[in-house]
Amino acid sequence: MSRTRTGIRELDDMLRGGFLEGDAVLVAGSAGTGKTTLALQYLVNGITQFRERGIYLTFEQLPTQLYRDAESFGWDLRKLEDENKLRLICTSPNLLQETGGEENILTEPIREVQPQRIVIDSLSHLAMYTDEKDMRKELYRLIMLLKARSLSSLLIWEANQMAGQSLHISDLGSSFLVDCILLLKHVEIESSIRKALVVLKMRGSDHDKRLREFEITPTGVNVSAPFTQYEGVLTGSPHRSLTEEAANNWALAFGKNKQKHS
Amino acid sequence: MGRTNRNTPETGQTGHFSQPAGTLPSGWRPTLVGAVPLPVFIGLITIFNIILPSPALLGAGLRFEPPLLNSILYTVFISLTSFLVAYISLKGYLQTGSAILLLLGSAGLAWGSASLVGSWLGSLPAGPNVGITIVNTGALLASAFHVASGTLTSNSTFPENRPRVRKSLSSIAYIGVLSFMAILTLTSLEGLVPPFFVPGVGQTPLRMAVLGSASALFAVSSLLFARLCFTSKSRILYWYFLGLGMTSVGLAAVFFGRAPGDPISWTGRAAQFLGGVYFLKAVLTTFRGVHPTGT
Repeated sequence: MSRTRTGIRELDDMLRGGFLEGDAVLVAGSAGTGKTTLALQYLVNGITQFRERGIYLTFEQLPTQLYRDAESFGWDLRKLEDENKLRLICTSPNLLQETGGEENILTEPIREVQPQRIVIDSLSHLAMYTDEKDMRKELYRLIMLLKARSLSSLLIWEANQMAGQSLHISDLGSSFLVDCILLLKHVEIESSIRKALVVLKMRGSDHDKRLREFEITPTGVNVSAPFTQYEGVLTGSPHRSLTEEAANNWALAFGKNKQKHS
Repeated sequence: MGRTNRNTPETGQTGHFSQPAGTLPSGWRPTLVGAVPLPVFIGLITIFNIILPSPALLGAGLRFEPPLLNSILYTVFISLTSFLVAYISLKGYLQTGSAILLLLGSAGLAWGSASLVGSWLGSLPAGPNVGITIVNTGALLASAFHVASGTLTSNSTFPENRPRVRKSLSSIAYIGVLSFMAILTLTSLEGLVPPFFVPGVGQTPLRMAVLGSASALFAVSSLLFARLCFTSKSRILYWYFLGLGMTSVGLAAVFFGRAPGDPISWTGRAAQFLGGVYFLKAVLTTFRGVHPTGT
C-alpha cells in the first residue's frame, strides 16, 4: 500500500507509515489547536521531502497571512509557489461550489501544478454557504472530485470544543465520508493548556489508537509521548489513573518535596 | 509574533487534580502510635540480652525455628512490601525522572528479592548459611541504596533524568539488582562466597561486618528521611523512615542473639516485619485523596 507521509516522523509512526495514498483525511479541532500549521507542514514536507506538489485552498486567510505564518516556521511558501510546486488559493466557498460541467476553481491549478496533495481550509467555511441538508451531498461531491484526481487531501474542520465534552465531528455526517480522521484537542492538565492528537479512524489500515501530546514548535508540529498517565483526556476531564496519581504523590514526598506543602 | 498558534485556546474543559496526598498542613503532629514500637523493640532486645543465658546454656525450649513459617513471614511482610516500594518508586521515577526514586526502588527490589530468595533457601539440608548470606548481603545492598537516596534528599539535590533515558536507566538499575541477587544466589549455593554462618559455631565475623554495616546504614537513612519528613510534614515519609528504623533495629538484634530462633531473634524479626508493615502503610498513604475533585 502506498503511503502519503506527513514528514512528521512520530505522526507517520502513528499512521503506520503515513496516510493511505489518495485518502481524504479530516483534520478536526477547535481554534488554536494547530490545524493550519499541521496542514501547511503536510504540504511543505510533501514538496521538500517527497517531491509531491500541493495546493492550499483557503476560505479563511489571505495569502499574505499564510506567507507570514509559514515564515515563522522557516517555510518559504512564495519560493515554492515560484517553483510551481505549491499553489495558494484564497477564495470564497461558493466559488468552489460553482460548477460548469466538470470545471471549478480547482481545475486550472490542478492542471498547472499537477499536485499529489491538497488542503481545504476549511469545511466549516464551506458549511456556511451550504444548506445543512445539502452539506453531506456537497462534501461527497468534493471528496469524490479530489479522489478522481488522485489527490491526497486534508480537509480541515473547525469543531467546537464544549466544556467537558468531546468533539462532535460527525455533525455533518462527514465522518463516514472521509477515510481518516485526525482529531486535535486542547486539554487542561495541571493548570496548563496542552495539545492532544489522536487518530480516530483510518480506513484500511492499522493505526496508533493512543492519544498523544503534541506541540507547535519553531519548526512545526512535534508529536511526543502518549498521555499514558492520564485517563479521560478526550472527554475533557483528564485525571491520572489511581496508580499514576499514587506514584506522583510518592514522587512528591521523596523526590520533589523541596517546597513545604500547605 | 510568536511562532505558535495565533488563536486563543478555548477554556472550559477542566481536569482538576487533588493536592498531593501524604503531605500535611504545617500544624501536623506525628502520631506517636507509629513511633512507640521503636523504643519498645530496643527495650525488649536489651531485656532479653540481660536475662537470657549464654548460648551454651540456652535450653531447646527457648528456641523456635520453623522454616516454613519463617519463609512465609519474610515473604509476606518484607518481600511483598518491598516489591510494592520498588513498584511505586519505579512509576514515580518514570513520571518525574528523580534519581532519588530510582535508588529507592532499587533498594526495595534488593531487600525484597533477598528476603524472598534467602528465606526460602534457608531451610536447605546444607544449613541456613546460604539463606543468611543472601538476606544479609541483600540488606547491605538495600541499605546502601537507601543511604544514597537519603543523602541526595538531605543535600537538597534532586537530580532528574530526561524522559528519553528513564526507561532504559530504570531497566538497567532493576535488572542490575536482580542480576546481582541471582549471581549472589548461585555463588552462595556453589560455596564460592565465604560463610556467614557455620552450624554449631555461629555467625562469622564477615556476617557481623555485613549485618552491622547494613543495620547502621538503615539507621542513617532512617535519620536522613526523618529530617526530610519533619521539614516537609509528609505522612508518607513518616511511615517510611519509621520502617527503615524498624529494619535497622531488627537487623541489629542478630548481634545479641544466642541462637537462631531464640527470643532475641524473634524480636528482631518482628521489628523487621513491622518495618515492612510501615513500608506498606507509606505506600497506601499515597492513595489517599487521589481521585480528582473536579468533573
